[in-house]
Amino acid sequence: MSETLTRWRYRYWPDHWIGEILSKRWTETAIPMILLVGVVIASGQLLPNFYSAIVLSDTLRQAGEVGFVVLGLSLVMMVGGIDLSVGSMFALSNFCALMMMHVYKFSLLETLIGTLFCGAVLGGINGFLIGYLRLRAFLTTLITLIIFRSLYEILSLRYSTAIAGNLPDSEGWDFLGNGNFLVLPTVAWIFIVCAIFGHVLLTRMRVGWHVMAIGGSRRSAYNSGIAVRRTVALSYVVCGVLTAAGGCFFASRLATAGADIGIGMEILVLTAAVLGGISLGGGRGSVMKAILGTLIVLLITNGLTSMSASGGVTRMVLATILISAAAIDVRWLKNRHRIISKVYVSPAYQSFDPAPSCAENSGSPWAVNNKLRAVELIGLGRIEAPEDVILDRDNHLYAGSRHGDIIRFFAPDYQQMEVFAHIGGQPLGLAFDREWNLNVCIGGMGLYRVTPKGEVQRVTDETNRSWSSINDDSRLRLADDLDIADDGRIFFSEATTRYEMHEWPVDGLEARGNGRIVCYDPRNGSTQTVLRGLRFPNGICIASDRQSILFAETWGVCIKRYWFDGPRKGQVEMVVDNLPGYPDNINSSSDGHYWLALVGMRAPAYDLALRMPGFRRRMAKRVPIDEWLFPNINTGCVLKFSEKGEILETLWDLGGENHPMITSMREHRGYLYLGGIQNNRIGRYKLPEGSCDPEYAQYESRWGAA
Amino acid sequence: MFSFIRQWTDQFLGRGDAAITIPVMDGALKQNRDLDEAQVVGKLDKLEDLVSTSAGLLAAAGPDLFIHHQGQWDLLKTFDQPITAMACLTGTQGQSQKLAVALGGREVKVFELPLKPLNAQDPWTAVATLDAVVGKGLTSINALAFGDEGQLFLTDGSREVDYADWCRDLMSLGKTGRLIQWHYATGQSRVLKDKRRYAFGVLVRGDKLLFSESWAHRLVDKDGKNVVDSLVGYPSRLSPASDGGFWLTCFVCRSQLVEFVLREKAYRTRMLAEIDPRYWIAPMLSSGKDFLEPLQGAGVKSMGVLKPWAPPRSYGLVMKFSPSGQLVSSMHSLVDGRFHGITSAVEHQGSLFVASKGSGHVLKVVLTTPGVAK
Repeated sequence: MSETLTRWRYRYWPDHWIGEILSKRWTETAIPMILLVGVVIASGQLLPNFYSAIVLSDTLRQAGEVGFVVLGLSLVMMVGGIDLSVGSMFALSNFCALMMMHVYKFSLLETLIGTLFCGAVLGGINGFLIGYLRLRAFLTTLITLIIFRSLYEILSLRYSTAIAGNLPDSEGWDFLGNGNFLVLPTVAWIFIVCAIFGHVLLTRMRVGWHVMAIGGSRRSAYNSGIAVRRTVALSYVVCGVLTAAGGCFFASRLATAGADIGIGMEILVLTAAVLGGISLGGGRGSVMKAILGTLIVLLITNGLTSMSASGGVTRMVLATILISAAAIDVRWLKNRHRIISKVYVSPAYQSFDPAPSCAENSGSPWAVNNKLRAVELIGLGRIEAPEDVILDRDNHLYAGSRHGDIIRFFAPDYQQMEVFAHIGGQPLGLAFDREWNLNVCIGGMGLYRVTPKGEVQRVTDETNRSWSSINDDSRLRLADDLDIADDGRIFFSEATTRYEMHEWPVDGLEARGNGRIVCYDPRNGSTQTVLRGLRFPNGICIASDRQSILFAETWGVCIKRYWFDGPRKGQVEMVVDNLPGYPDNINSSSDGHYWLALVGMRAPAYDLALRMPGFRRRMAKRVPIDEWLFPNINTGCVLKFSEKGEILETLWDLGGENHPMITSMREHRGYLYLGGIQNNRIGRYKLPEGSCDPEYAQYESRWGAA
Repeated sequence: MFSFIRQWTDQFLGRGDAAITIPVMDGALKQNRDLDEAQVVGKLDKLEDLVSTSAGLLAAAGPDLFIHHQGQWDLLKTFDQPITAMACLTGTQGQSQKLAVALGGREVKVFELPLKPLNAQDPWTAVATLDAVVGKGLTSINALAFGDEGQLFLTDGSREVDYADWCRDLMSLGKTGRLIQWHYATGQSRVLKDKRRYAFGVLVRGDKLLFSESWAHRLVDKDGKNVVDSLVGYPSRLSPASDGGFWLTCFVCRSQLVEFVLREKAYRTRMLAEIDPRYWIAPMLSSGKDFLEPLQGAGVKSMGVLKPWAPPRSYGLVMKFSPSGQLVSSMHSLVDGRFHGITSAVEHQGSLFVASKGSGHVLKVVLTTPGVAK
């Protein structure tokens, strides 16, 4: 009963989504987004007329003005600095705009350019001091805050009556401050344009990447040739310009040069930026985060004001938000990876029938024997990790190695060897095509081809991205076995889309259908996923009708058949179910049947654990991976099965004394060649006379007959 | 209330009692291959215990009692039940020796040995027999030690499972071990310590007494005080060393996975109910012979090699303690070694004889100074 509940719970609740969502960068933006929605709802509840057009438009106007400043500060924070003088710069540019417009009667364009230039100069002072003279950003901008503020106070005292006494006569100026365009206020439109440009700049353009690089690690950025000083200085200039833009809109809306303008603004702006998720440490942030932070902070302060809270209370609230946002920022940055690694592994429920007995006296084809104890060893100690083996027309033997090479052993005695090709990733499944190119699945890289001359070519390394997957699954992570159809299409399996090759035990622990079968079509160069949701698919082999493939699901302990052509196109059928071990590669045998390697055997304790996902999840969290319960891959066997799914015979090396593990086998001219991904040898087993065709060679007969 | 919350958070976060940390083998426990390289002096099926007598070294294997004589193991006596423990009281000059034997874990007999060399024809007479203490039967007597003035101390591992079934007691968190004192001369007996997490091994050192509490990984004295704790393995029998210290064997070692499973009640219950005991996630006396056994990550053979420091399902470990109770040296048979499941180590004529129950071998380590292998 409770097991049924467990099964349902793990079938319908997608645990693995949590880890995948958390490892997305946009989750950091999602949290302030949720906060904003909350604040909007709360404001709507608490404040009368919150949703009315006037209030909304007024809020947007303010948001636009403050938003420019937040954008500027965010840029400076991303480059690893801070600018406390934004409030004073804001006041000064406001004053500058008013002077030009009201007193000197400049044109609108002249005023705008003049004000922005004024901001650039103010920012330039900060930039020069911090970027080129390498002064501390905090101290420098604290001082410029005081200087700019004093300057503003002196000037505003002298000219405020002149400003108030002259009103400009410019429709453009009014439109800037109070106009609407397509429902939204002008300032909002201009801000949106700036924000989009800023986003493109930061994420798609060189300067933006430089800014992020410097913020992330100043020294590395310097070492990689980025003009650190100039970029830092420029970002302060841009901050000044953006602040001036904000000041300009403020001036056009309110036309006041009061003494309290811009006082305490740095706290508001800083809170907005940090709350949005722009890290105080630099190197992290986005335009969207700045906007979200601005809106949240503004709504809160406006809400407090309209509930007639005093300025002290508002500032107190802001300070509280700032300190908690900063604390969360630091803790999150430190623990993000730890949290993700804790929740990413999400085991699924899996239940098998009891495995068939392999006891020596069981009388079944499974009965253990020691036929493989006497295999000849090729390249003992000279080759490492030959996952698959293959032989060409001249009987030379090819195998991958974990150093990223394809090794060739020369016939007839296989004593001499050479590096046939160096690819770089771990070669797994191998197959010859009609032109005797060696097609190789490379773990972590994709599908590659080695020509008979030893030239390495990439065939494909990505497939179509599936819509239902949260992780980007377009890149091939663990292509592991392949076979080639008569029309040249290459079918290959990708064992898992959630883990890298060396993390295969974690995928085994999950036992979820994380894998897929992908088809590469050389006729148009396309790569398409044809089957997904498979539990570590492996061992692709074209079946006798040439219209279907047999494949193994390692963690699903079964062999299935998939039709890619013909009347049954698209169908999947179970061939062998409930194997007593974990199936790996499949290859055809000379008598029309198939060889299958069992890489390991099912242990009852592991089978029980598969039915208890919670146990496995806690194990993954608490127990180091070297101590995990593993599928037993120290003993395996080779077996022959028919297309109908009958097990015909099994070959064992008990205790793995001579050939410890088997991941693949290839029949070639009366011998069976054995590969193993954890082995330092290749096995060669002489098939008994009469049990095989001594002239049989898999790919010669394939391409001869095709 | 507070402790309840503490327990819950510990369980949730894997801290405190829920932590699965185990001590590492370093210092005096630095791994070596002393046991693997020791001289093999015999292979006895179902080997259980060794005892040193003035007539020679005796070995218990199943119901049979053997004596080591000129490099041979001569059958001395066959009992009707498997021998689960032995102890010998060497008499002072001219006095006869006494041999105590536990049979099937449920009965203890004390024999008086003849003074002449032992041989299979001599009839032995039991001078005393014990099969119950304070009215309750014995269940799994696994170690014996003579005290002075006609006393014998016994450890009874569990009141619930037979000696051979010790693993079930461990995996079901058994806590019914006892330390028993028996005046075989008068026939009086009493329970000295009760509700122990598997008492296994007892040693009398002058007026002090020491016994091992296996599932608690510690050695305890008569007052219940820890003498040694946080052992890397599950301690078994103790025997005196000639320098005044003592030898301790660990018949199985701890691993983080087993510690974890011990804290996973649901899995453990189902495992005990549904799976053949040979294939449990549990420590074993020997391992690696059957592919149905559970495998741990580092136990995967790589390039044909099993790492010697892989997590031990079975292991061979003998520890030497100084007279003051400090661990001073150790002898190992590593994970890839042969002689696992050490249940007994006794000093006899300047050498240490070790019984590897897991492999059924008796090993001999020649000692230069007590505790140091040559």
